[in-house]
Amino acid sequence: MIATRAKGLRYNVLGRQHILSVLRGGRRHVGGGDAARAKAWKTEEAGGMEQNLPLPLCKVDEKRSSVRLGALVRAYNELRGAIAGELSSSPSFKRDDHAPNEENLCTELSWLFEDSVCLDPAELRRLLRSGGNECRSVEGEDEGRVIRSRLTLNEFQDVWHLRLRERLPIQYILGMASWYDLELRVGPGVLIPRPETEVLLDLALGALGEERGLGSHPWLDLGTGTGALAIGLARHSEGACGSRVRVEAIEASENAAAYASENIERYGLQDGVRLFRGSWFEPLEAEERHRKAFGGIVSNPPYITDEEMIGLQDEVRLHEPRSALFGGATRGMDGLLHIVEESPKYLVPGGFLGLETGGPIQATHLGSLMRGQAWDRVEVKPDLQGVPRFLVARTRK
Amino acid sequence: MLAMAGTTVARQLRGLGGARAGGSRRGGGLGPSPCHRLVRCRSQLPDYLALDDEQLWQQCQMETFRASGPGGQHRNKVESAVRVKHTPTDIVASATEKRSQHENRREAVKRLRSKIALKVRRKTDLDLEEGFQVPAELAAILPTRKKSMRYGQKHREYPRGVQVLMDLLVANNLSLADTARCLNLSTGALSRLITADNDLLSEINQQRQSLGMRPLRK
Repeated sequence: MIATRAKGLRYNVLGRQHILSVLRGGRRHVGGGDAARAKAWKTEEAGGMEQNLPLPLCKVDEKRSSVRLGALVRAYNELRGAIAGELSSSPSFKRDDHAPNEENLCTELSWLFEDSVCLDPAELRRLLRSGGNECRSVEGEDEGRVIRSRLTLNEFQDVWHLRLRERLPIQYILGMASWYDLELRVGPGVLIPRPETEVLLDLALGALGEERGLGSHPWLDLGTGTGALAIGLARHSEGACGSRVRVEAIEASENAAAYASENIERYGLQDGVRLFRGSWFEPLEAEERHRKAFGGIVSNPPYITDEEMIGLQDEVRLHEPRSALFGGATRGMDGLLHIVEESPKYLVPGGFLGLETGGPIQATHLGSLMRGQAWDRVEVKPDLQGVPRFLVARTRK
Repeated sequence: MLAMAGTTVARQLRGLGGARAGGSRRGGGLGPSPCHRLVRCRSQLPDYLALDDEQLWQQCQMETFRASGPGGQHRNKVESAVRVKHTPTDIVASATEKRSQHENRREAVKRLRSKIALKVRRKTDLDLEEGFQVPAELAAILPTRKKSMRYGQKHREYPRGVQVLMDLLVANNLSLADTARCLNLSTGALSRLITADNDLLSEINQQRQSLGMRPLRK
């Protein structure tokens, strides 16, 4: 049994640099690993590794270290037990109203272990499930069982330090975000796709199912970030409308585009999703053939207002790219207004527009604006928490 | 809490199909073979499991576990737990272990199907004169079928077979021997089928115990 140290944990001073070098330096390519997660990376092995993106934790060489199961479980319990203390003592958590709670952090800690330890995730979960903050020790043979881990016990502490003290989002630490049915590569410089946006994909697929003809035209994802919406559309359009929709994804940030390109390749969609660099419609403007050519447009543009920017959760404010968050001076709607205004030029008659907004104020405002214009069937749809968030509409036929 | 909700529903549903003839007789296993009895229900419940996921989903209310703050880009969120309530039956299912909401939703619907199979009873006609016609959904999970042709517990259609099996068991007052006879199976083979599925086993045992019958063992 291990007594939790009263205030925080001891960390290696060189933690951050060291961890980043572990994640970056990893050309030591790995096979196997966690079978369920490994499936999605098949395409990566074909050559996607050339780009200089940080390696996701679950792709780091699993032979980097060996740990005894007993020690691993104790390390987990120690880190887990320290969460509550950290939440109540750390100023960064105390002043942040939107900070993650203990339950969230426990979930994240278990993800960190799942991605690092070479055990079946279900088995690992069973071993780590300790019931509250009690330490559970592993007994008998299991105690000394040696298992492979991508991180050493010290490194677990270092990484967790980055999470708690620097509020680095867990998805950046893991280098992966789970979204819809996808495992997407993420890292500093690209917005971590949000669960709310899964609903936008469902709305778009719903529109395709309802009017299958829209699938015979290409679709457009503006500000694709990780490529989440574009990849989701390309992968699921066939199920929705019977034909695989071609998607053009546009991204202004070079860094984000590198992630999008990597993710597109990992899902083997080089033919289905084309990635363009530029701001909103810019890459399409020059060519006449793009006019009235798209069956649908989806976008999750930055929509956070000036006032909201200061109050954001630290994970978001300190680490995610401002360009993917800040929606500009027009009450956060610079991007949204631009897209609403320009979209009719690019959509076929009856074409679909689906936008994520910051919430009821923006959604209602844009909705009433659109009703007076070239749009039909303008509707505001709620996210899974019931917040009016999405704006869907069709161009007039 | 979820389990409690499920039980209440089950009771109501059993109430709906309340003409179960053996209901008043405790002790079980006595009297004429229940296969000779015609079991009727006052109301016929729709076949929810015949619906595809999307249709079933539309009969559900979804609750995510925590709603706080403005959401969307404002927050880095790892809560992905999903809880669904099937409105027509009030059966609730949830999933928390997947990392994305979509995956948890899919998992929750899968669990909902299993729960519907265990909790929603429909009328079964048992008429030995003509012999019991084993419905295709049930035949698909029975050991009489070649293993490669049989639907295992992970198969999407497996719950439909379980639902018909439960209907039949309840019509036979949860007697394994009588049910096995209807299916032309040995009691042992039926017992193996049941004990291989923990949820099915525990549902049957709960019901058997409430009738004062001995629980089945693994």
